Amino acid sequence: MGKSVLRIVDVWKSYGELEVLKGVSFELMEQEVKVIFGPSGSGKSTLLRCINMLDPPDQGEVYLSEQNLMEPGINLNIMRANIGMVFQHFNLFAHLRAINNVSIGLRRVKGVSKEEARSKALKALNQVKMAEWADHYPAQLSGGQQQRIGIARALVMEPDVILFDEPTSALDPELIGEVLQIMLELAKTGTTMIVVTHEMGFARAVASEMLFLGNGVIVERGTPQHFFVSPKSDRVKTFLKQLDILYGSHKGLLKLSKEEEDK
Amino acid sequence: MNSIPKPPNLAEIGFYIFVKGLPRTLILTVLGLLGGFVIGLSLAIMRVYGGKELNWLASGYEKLFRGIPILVLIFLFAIYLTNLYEICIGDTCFGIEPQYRPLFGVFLALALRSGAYQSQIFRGALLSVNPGQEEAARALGMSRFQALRTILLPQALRLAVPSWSNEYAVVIKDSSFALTVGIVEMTNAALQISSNFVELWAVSIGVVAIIYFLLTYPITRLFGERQTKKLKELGMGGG
Amino acid sequence: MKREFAVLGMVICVAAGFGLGWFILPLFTAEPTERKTLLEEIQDQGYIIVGTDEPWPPFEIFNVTADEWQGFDIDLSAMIAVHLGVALIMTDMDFDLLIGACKAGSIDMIAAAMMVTSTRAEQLAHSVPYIRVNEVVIVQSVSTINITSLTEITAYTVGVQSGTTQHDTLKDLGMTEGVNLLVYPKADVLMAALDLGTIDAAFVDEPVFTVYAKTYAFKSIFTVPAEPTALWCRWEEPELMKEINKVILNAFGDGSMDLLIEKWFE
Repeated sequence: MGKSVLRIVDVWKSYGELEVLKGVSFELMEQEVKVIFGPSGSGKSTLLRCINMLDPPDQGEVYLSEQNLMEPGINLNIMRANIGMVFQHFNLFAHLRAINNVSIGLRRVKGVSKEEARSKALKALNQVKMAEWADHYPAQLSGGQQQRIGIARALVMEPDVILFDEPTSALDPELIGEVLQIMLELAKTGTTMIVVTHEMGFARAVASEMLFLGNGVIVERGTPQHFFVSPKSDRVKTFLKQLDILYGSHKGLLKLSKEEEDK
Repeated sequence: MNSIPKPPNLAEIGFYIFVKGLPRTLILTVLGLLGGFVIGLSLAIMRVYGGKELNWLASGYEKLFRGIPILVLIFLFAIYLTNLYEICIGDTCFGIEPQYRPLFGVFLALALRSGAYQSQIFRGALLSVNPGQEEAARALGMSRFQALRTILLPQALRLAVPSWSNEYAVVIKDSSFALTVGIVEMTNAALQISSNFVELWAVSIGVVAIIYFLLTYPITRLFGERQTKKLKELGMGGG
Repeated sequence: MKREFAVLGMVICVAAGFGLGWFILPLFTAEPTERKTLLEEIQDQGYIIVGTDEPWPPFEIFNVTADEWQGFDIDLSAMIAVHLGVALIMTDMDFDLLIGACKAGSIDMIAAAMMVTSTRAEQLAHSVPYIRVNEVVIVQSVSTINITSLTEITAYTVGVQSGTTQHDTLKDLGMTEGVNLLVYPKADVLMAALDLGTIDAAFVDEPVFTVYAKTYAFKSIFTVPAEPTALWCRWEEPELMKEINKVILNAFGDGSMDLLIEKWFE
């Protein structure tokens, strides 16, 4: 599969008295897509923020391409430029047009020239099929459109890995599809991704591994087949059943090819 | 006083107040607001991003200059502390010329006071920017300072505009207190007319009141509600 | 911990800087005999700042039509400025602020028909007195008030300008500020109050009454001789006072003072 992109070793995180992460470990290789799912409050968002050190873990290690992010004296800003993030509430910069939202990271963090940044940004916008909306402000766009721009913003930085924090949870149902479609295409073109989501259809289609996070620990892990055919723990079984009741499946929205449907 | 001069008509009164008084009113207002802006923004950043100690310092400044009336501040800086506006090393001195010290003193008083209030304005604005904005900026790899400069401040400053236009109105009205230390701004000009022509007292006061109103209402209206509406449309704030 | 030390260090450095500047710098730089007098400063900067309180005609008023200061005190100050070879800058403020401003150095001299009293003489040095006028109690022409002594006026509501000798006199007679003694910051407001009937009487300098009586229907019902008026400056500036006195005495000597009095007090 290639080299190690992320290595999380025994990460612990508490907020005051509350222990949110209790010894989480996994490794992410190049071109892998890991899907993390589980009940809310299980620490999924916290885990992502530990990975890009926005909220560093109390204990444990985080390695990005074998570079220890917990080392003192390390320039975390430069490291963070190599970890992309897509947020549940999009977090687009409200005062900037779409094109500038995408290009500002290149200009300010990577020091790319204005023209080059603009052309790269346009390419990224094309990739997420938002090029005609380049001059619009976020407030003028639907949730799905905003999220796609958020993905472009992360993509354009050419990061080693992109973290997705429940990217479709805040979207109206009809808009979820367009975002999942883009994420599918990204996964298929070999982008290294960690996706926290309830979208099991997506997971089934592209996840290399799925991790069930409950109460701060990885309760169960395995391939999508493992989970959808014969999950071990009862907790996981209950959870999956509830998901199916609530969300149904999104086969139609995902426009999966016939082979994938029959997987 | 031998010949009795002709009392000015309404237009002449307005003209006199405008020409004689407006320059100093504007200088004091603009410089006072600018000084207050520098002080206020620095204090706000200290309070939002500084540690406990910086916060305590900034908060102390705010309490001090919100608690002293502007008139007292003006007396202090324009009359009693004027000797400080000059630094002498041996024989060479440099500082503010004696005849401009009262003006400088009023500017100081206005700026120091306005800084305390603008600090509150900008602090509120910074805190009402959506917290996700800073998160996204940091996730891209921006330092706290870069995030502040490129993402937070532009939004915070826009959010601050309605309150800030209100502060402008306050400062321009406070500038009238400069008359107590002899500066001829608009209100003083009106009083000069009324002291020359006692029967025109009410008229000159009325005219200067209208001029102040015309200088404040359109601006607070323009930058007040309309701006708040525009900001909501753009989706800023509400954080 | 680092941050606490940093802040503590900052505060100490700032305090040390101030302390050093305050105490040590003068030790090394100033030679005691080299201190410039106000007179020299005035001549260096090319203008003298004279504080006054207008309107108090005919002593001082700013004529808006002619766009210039006019009055007895103005002309006298102009004579002094000419003698010193500098320009004259008049600045106006409330009467009771004048002494404080002069002591603080904001203004160089006071020319505001300020009468000589022992209290004032403790604060500032005064020149040779240049004129002596009366104080009068004035009422509306239609008023029926009549008094034979000053104490009788305490039965009525009287207005004065703040900080004047008239203000002190009535306070000493037992009148209560805000109750039957109304104190006004400026003369024109005081006169307007009498005209409106807010006060029964006003206690002012006689020449001022003469001027305002031209516009308002007032009459004088009691006259009191008053202290003479003088020009004032700081005790620490005897050189300046010397020059001021020179001008006044010369004016008395060569008749120009008489001309001035004739011009402003009919």
